[in-house]
Formats: sequence, structure tokens, C-alpha cells
Amino acid sequence: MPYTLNLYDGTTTYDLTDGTYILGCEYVPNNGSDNDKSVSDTVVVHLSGTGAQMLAVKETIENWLAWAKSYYTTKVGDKIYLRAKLDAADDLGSSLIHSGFVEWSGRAPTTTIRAGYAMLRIVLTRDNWWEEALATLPLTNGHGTDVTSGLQVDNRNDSTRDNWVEIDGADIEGTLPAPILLDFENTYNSGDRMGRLRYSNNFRSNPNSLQTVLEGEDATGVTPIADTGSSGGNYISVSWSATQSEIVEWTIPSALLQNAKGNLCKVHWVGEGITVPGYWLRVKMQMSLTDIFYGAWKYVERDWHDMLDLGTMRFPPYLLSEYSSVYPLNLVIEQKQTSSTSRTMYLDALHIHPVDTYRSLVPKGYNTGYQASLVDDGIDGVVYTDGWSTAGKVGNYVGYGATPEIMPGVDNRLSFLMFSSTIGGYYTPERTGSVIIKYKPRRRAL
Amino acid sequence: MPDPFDDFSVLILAKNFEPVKEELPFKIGVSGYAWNSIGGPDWARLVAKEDVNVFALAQLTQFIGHPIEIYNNATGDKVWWGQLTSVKIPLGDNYSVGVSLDKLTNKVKVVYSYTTPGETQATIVKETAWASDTGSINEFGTKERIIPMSDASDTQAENRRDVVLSKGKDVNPLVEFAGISEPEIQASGWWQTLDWLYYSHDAGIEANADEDATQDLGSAAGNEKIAQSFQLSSSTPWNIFNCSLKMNYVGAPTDDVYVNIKSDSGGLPGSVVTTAVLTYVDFPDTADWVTFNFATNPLLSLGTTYWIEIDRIDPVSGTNYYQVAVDEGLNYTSGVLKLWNGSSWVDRGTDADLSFKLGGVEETSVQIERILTNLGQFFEGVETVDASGIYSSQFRDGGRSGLFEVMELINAGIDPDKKYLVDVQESRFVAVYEEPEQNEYKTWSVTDDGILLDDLQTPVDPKLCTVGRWVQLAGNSPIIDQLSLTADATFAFIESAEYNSNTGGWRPKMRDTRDPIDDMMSFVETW
Repeated sequence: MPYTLNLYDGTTTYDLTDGTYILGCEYVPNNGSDNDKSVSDTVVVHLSGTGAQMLAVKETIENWLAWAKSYYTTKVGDKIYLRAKLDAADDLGSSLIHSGFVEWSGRAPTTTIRAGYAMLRIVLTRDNWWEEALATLPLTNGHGTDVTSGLQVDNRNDSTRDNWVEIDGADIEGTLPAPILLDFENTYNSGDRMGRLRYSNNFRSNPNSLQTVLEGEDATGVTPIADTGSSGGNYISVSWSATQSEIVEWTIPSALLQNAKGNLCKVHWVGEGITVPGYWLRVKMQMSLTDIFYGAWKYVERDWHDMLDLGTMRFPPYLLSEYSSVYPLNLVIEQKQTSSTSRTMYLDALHIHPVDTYRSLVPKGYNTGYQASLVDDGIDGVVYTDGWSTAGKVGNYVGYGATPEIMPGVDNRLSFLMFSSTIGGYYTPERTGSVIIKYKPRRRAL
Repeated sequence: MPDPFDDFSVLILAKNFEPVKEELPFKIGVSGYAWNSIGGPDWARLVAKEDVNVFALAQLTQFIGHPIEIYNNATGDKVWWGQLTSVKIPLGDNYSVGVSLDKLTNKVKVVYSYTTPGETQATIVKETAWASDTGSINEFGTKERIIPMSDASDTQAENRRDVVLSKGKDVNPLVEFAGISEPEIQASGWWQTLDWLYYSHDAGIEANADEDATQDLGSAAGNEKIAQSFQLSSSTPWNIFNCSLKMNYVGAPTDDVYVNIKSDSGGLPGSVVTTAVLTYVDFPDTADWVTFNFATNPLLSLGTTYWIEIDRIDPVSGTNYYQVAVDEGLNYTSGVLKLWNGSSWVDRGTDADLSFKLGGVEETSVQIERILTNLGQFFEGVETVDASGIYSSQFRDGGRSGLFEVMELINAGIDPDKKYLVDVQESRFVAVYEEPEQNEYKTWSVTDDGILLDDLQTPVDPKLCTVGRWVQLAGNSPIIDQLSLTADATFAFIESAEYNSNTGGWRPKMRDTRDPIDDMMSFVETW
């Protein structure tokens, strides 16, 4: 018999191992395959009492399962968990019940009920994993080490500012990737609230070694323009007039390619494009001067002031058997336009973020005010803001992208980009936030 | 393992394309979607979780007509965009309810054959004015419909128009007595919305087709030349291409006939703008339309008087001459007819107007751009990248949809032998461009197991549903070589493609090939 086995709705517990009319139970949890989202389990509960008393137990459990299905189909109401611990020393595991039914088990029920004893068989479908209690993860960057009460992140990534937080793999319990609850407080004291927030997690590409920023001033043959508000203290101006030409180029260090390990990375041009819109940009990678990879052409149709998404591509643009030695490549931004028009853009930095998970949180309205928090709860699958002067949560954001997850056993680094709430969503380099990350350790088996 | 729900995020946007999502209490997945090299995103089929509450699913119907975007969760990139067009929900085993944009109509007119009271059959074709519903247009965009009617009175036609508008302006629920096993949620690409509006363009024709008499040309001193003044009645200027006149010969003339377009000089023909000539063999012995094609095609301006001047080479002859149809009813109000008597231009004894048809042409790429600009109510902007070098009449009577008209022009291609491709980009900016070169040394390829490789041999994500590319068939060269003895199978062009979320597979349809699935379905339907 399991040490602990109960039904739980967040407040009330219904014990399946012991009770007024429950003698005990038999339960061996099943494991589904990695591809299964759900798994089916059977619990056999031994009862004693009068017929009416044992019937009341059956109906109580049936009612619990009915509520479980009600939440699972409507996402309204209380979640019903099966909680279990096989041994006193184990951590208590919870698994969300999707649905289930109850039936009499063993010999003909009427016979055994008259004898004052019966067995119930509970057949239920639940999540194909077990979760432990919600825990806060210690976070680290240049502003602090193992911080759990809120760690500052910046909107730039250079020698003095970090747009990321790192989680030590040793601090992530469990065996499976686990959804996180991101609590992102807007700590930028301005009437210009925070609008969109994009963040991604990197755990496959040596997160504590991967260089994720190519500064504009490090491009080949450019003249840096000093600016304390820019990443690295400089930005560059990029101009062209031909119908098609390469406009800016970097040498990608071998170390960056080796650490990235062929992972998919999103490339963002952070800066400003105040030139007349109506042109295309794409990323190319070259071996010496020879093109070996083309990204997709991205059409720029508006006058933008924040970040241009240049697409997602592998770094390096091929998979190798191992990455201890990778030839350095050139990363080139190429433009094309239908007529010879003179254009100028400003580049602060190129951000390269692995997208082991990638999320974009977009405001429906009102955005996130100073000292309010934007919460992306991947555990419950909801997005909201909280911490307003008038207390209460409000669902004024939506999120898209994969469920935000962390991988146990390896270091994870989450990187962030914040935007203002003005029309066009300007990128404001001075923005800051404070990050708290919580999770429920997840395992396949108890 | 492919998963229609985990692999994608589906965003439903507000009608003003603001990047927000109306939140639903269930998750929408993607069953599949398709792209076309003409128009970009073509269709998408969405799915709801199989155990979703039917009342929750019914909430989806309020988002009909809303923009939707599909994101690839693995990369964060948009892979499809369009609008939600249909939602059908099963109710029991035998019927379904839902809503669809297919039946929406918020701007209507009726074209009808008119029967004059007391007459036994229709005598003329008339049309009602357009009637529209502002609220529906503001909600969904304009969706036009022209209703044909036979033998109708004015009142009948207007009533029919008003009934159709009244019933069609709202997205009404559809009830079908045919069971479906799961909800059907469909979306269409923005290119399809060109079918919502009819396209008319008044430039390219200036005419007076009425006739009730003839005028001799070159039979006597009083009719050595004939001239008719005109002004363009269109809303935009256009390049003149030809002039058609209803003419015949009398006797046996053997000289050429010239038609000059001339500027106006003090109310009379001035200097030559352009010229056309026909020889005597081009004229019939009984009146019929003959067409003079001008040597050059200058742009005629609005609000400017021009002249059509008709002249024969030989001196006048009372035996051998030409005749031109004229309209003594004076139905053409934008000009006058003059005759040259050998020394001056004079009025005709019985005033008349020439019967004539002037035709214009315009480069098809310009016409494409105009249709997309004027009818692309959901497009952000249009740019035709490559000129076509092909010219055709730009006049349209408004009887066909913008989609029909633009497809005709697009399918005509680019001179001499290239096709157009059209991409409605994620920004809803439309790019119209020449198809890429089939380049043997740097082209995309498809392997035996269906993997698409770009021109740097990098595998292309099937979720991108790549279209509009030449591909080399990379595998099994001996078979390809053998096939090439009879037909070159080395290269193929991806005309359209579908992505299936359940299999994670990409299925292209090559240009000028038959789709085995379509063939099979056609066979089944035949039986």
C-alpha cells in the first residue's frame, strides 16, 4: 500500500489509504511513454461498513472524479490532483486527474456488501508525470548570486549590464523539463509602461559560455558612435543605396559556434530603422567570402524603433558530430530593394538567443506599470499582471510560443528583451526588471 | 513526435490587427495548412481538443472574420497568416451548427433585364444602384455581390437587392443536417479576399457606337477628310492603342486610309499625336468595324480635346471611295464632327457624330498593381517588383471579381516567357515578382525521402511550407536520367504545398503535374 494516496483540490484532501470506512488501498502507478501526455492508473480501495456507508464512499469518489473532468474540459474551477508518496521519506508527488470512473471490484458486489466488505476500483487518467511542491529557483547574474527575492535584469547585455538570469543545474530538481512561473516586475520608473516582453531559455548551448551579443561596433570596418545609452557604449550607422548589397558583417568567433552546437537561435537586430521602409533584409553566413547559408528575406515595411526579428537559424548552420573545433564564419546582413534608394539604419547590437524555449508576451492593453509584475505561469497556462496599487490579478496579456520550461541537471539561462508601451513598441535600452522564477519539480515516476 | 497542439501557437487578433488575442478556455491546434506560389498563405485547418466543452467551442464563432496567425513554437516564427472563415460544431451524430463568411454579403446590386409594362419581352438591361450596410462593412470589410434577374421591373429588382442585403449582412448561423465527427475550424489566406469585390476600370475605352447614317470619305470635294473631336470620359488618363470605325468601300478604291489622332487647335484638328493606316484590302464591301492600330501609344490627358481625323491617300473620286458610319442622333456629347472641303473644316450639312471606338492598352503589371491597391482592403501595401512588358486593354466593366481579373493578368506572365509569383507577406504587404531562374548550379533540391534542401544544401523546415521555388530532384539520378530521354524530369517548380501537423510532413505540388490525391477523389466522385 502506498504511504500516501489522496485526492486533493487545493484545499481539501480525501484520503484513499485510511478513513472511517476505508481499510486501505492498492496502487502501483503506471508510466506512460515520453510521447504520452496522459497515463491511466488503477487504484483498488478496500472498504468496510454497511452497504449504504460503502456506497457513500463510492459516490464521494465519483463526485471527485466528476469535478476533475469538469476542470480538465473547461479550465474553470478547482484542479483535482492525485497525490502520492510510496514511502515516508519520499517527496509528495501530485498528478492532475483528467477523468475517471469508479466500479465495484472483486466478487459480486451485492454479496460482499452484505458481508460488510467491498472493494472499489478507481480507473483514472492523469498527467503522465508527478510534480512536487512549488519552489523558487535561485537566480544569478552580474547583479547577484542565488537570489530568490527578485534579481535585476537589464535591457542590454554588455560588460556592466545583463539581460539574462542563470539557474544552476544543481538547483533544478526532478528528471523532466518543468514549466516555470515567471514573475517579471517592471522596475523602470517611468510613465511609459512596459509593453511586450520576449524571453527565451538556453540549456542546450553552453549557457554560461555562449556569447549572445554581437555589438554593432565590433562589425567589420565600421565607425562606432559613442553613446552611453547603447549596448557596449556605442552604436553604428549603416547606409546603402544599391538594389542589393551586403551592409554589415561580423566574424563569428569559433567559440560562439562551438558553444551554440548547431542550436536554433533567433537573431534580433536591436537598434533603429528610421529610413524609408520598403526593403528586405536577410542573414547570411559565409566561409571567407563564400555564402554557405541564407536566412529568409524579411520585409521591413514600417519605420521601426525597437527590434527587427531577422528569423531563426542554426549556429553554425549545419549539424556536426561534435563541436570541439568549428571553423569561424562571417555573419553578414544583406539588403535588397526594388529601386536604388538611399537608406540609413542604426545598429546597437545583434542579439542571438537560442530558442530551447521561446516566449512572446503581448499586451492586450494597459501594459505593465512601474512596480507591477507580468506573470507568465507556464504551470497553470495563464498570463496576467499583478502587484497593482489596487490589489488583484488581471489578464491583460497574452503569450505565445512553447510552454516556458527549464531542464533539470544542466544550467539554464533565460534572456529577456523589454519594449515600451508607446505605439510601435520602442526598444528602450534603459529598462530594467526584477525576475523571480518558480517551478514544480517534475518526474515521470514516483 | 508531431503534435498539432504543442508544435504551434494560434493567435486570434482583433479586427484592427492589434497584436492581442481573445482568450479562449481551450487550446486550438493546427491540423494543417497550405501555401500557394500565387498569394502566399492559402488555407489552414485548426483543431480543438477532442474533449473540449461544446459551449466553450461555440465562443469561437464570435471570432469569425478575425485575423489569425500561426506560430511555430520551436522557432517563434510565423508560418501562416489569414482570417478565420468558418466554424462548424457537431451537435450529436446527425447535425452540426456553425458560422461561415461564405454567405456574408453587405453590398449588393441587381443586374436585370427590364420589361417595359405592356411589352412581351425584356427590352434593355438595367442595374440597380449599390445598396450596402455600413455596420456590416465596418465589422467584416466589404463583400459585394451582383445578383442577376430576368424580366424584372425596377421595383422587383430593388426589392430583391434589399432582401439579399438584409439576409446577408450578418453572419448567420448555419445548421446542416449532416453529422461531423469533430469541430471544423477553417481559415483562409488574405489573397482570397480579392474575391470579395468586383473590379471596374473605366479607362481604355472612349466610344460612340450609335449609328444611323453614313458619311462618304473622299467621294467629293466636300468630304476629302472627316474629323471628330473627343475628350476622355474616364477617371484616369490612358495610352491610346487603336481606333475602330465602321466602314466599307464603294466601287474599287485602291488607296490607303489614314487615321490620325490630332491635338486641338482653336476648335479644329491641330498637330498629329499618332497615326495608323490601313490599305484598301482591309476594307469590306458592306459596313463593318475595321481597326486601325496606332504606330505609337501616347498618353492622352483628361480634360483635353483631341481629334480623330480620317483621310484617304488618293484624290476624291465619285466612283471609288469609302464610307464611314455616323450618328445623326448626336449621342456623343464630348465632341463634334467636321468635314474638310479642300480648303477648310466645315460643319456637316446634317449634323452628326462619328461612330467610333477608341481603345487603350496598359502594361499588365500596372493593372495588377491597381487591382491590388484598389481592392486589397486588407493589404497594407503593394509593390510590383518586375514590369511585365505585356500590354492589354485595361477597361473592365465591373462584372467580375478582383481575384478573377488579377489572376488573368498574373497568369499572362512576364514577357517573354516568365511567370509571376505573388506573396502576401506577414505584414500583409503584397509582393509581385518574377519567378526565380531555374539555375542548374545553384538551386534547391528535394531528396528521395522528401526533404527540401535550399541552394546551400541546408534542410528547410517543412513547417515553412516552401513554395515558389525550382527544385532539382536530388535522388535516384539514374531514373531521372532515364526519364529525361523523353521528358526532362530534372527540375520541377513548387506551385503549392501543404503541411500536415499529424505527420509533420510537407507535400508539394509541382507545376503542371497531376495530384494523385485529386485524381483519386475525382475518380471516387465519378463513381
